[in-house]
Amino acid sequence: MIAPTLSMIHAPPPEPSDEALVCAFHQGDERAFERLYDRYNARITSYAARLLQRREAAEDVCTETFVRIVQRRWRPGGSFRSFLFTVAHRLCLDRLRAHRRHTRLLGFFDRRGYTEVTAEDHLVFGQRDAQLQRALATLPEIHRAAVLLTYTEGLTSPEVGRILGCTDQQVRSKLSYARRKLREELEAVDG
Amino acid sequence: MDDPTPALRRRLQELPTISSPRSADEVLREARRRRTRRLAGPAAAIVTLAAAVLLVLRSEAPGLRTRGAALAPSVALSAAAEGPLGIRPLASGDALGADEAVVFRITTGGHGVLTLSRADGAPIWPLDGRPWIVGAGQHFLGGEPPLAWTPDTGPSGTHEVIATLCPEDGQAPSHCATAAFAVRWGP
Repeated sequence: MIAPTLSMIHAPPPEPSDEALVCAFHQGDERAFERLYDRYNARITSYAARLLQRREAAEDVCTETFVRIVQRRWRPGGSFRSFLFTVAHRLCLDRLRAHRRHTRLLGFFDRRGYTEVTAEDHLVFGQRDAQLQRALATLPEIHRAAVLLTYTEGLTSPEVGRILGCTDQQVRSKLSYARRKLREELEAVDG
Repeated sequence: MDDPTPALRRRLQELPTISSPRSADEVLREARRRRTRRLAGPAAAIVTLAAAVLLVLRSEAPGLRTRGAALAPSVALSAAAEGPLGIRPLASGDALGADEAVVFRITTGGHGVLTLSRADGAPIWPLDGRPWIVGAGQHFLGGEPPLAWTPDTGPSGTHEVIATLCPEDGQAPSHCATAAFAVRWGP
């Protein structure tokens, strides 16, 4: 038998899973909701900001995503993380569609130029890595989403496929295209 | 050729993250506020529509008009017809083509609760009883679901639409502003 060492005795309890926390919240434990929110607030807001290129809209998407959790939209049995990103992604798509339409209608009614993305929006994340941000912004939204979910969030191809509504094969194909496009964009900037 | 994936992954993961400034507690409060609103929504909608009907009954000729108390936020209503060939402007009373849908533009001069209704008080938007809270600016409705107003929507003739903007704090209907616009279809 191995004698317990000091580090084993004082090892912190393992972090509860997302699924355990959401179940605890639905049973009335608001602290569990707070822990889930702390775990995912930055991830969901950053994902939405990179997809939408607008910080305020990204913050609204984050709030709306968690409101859906309070409304018990998640059902035990699936991955909570996948569910969360699916909700956030769909909310982003809704906002992108609405923004495009609003822009088109404003242009029609006012007959004046309308800048879709303001200079301030481009600085959502500050100046750091501006090149990469700009390169990401040149990708079609679905390709950008595939890159962010795979490389930033570490989701698997099947998970990304479920969120984006496509097959693993299509996810891999989108990633391949996106990598090539990003490399071209970054090389063009570097000269 | 080198696989660029690890380098790309590293660069993406090193990008700074941003967080929503709202706390978990604020999100919980927001979710609860919506639940309360959903329950109170139908009653609020009835009061607002009654206000709209009263103001319309007191108005003169049909067409474009704006009225309301001095302190009311201003509201204006204009429209365009969206069809397969694009968008064209509509003047109040103009006819809509068979394959066109109407898009309303509501311009609000301040913050408030906005509703769009027919002259008889029947709601056009919102339909779920939840208040449509807006700030100053331009708001568009129609042309595509969920509000696709086309000649198939109702009987032929002139249809008057009223936009009503009321203060959010539930003041008397006299503090609401309204604007009307007429759209015609059919022979």
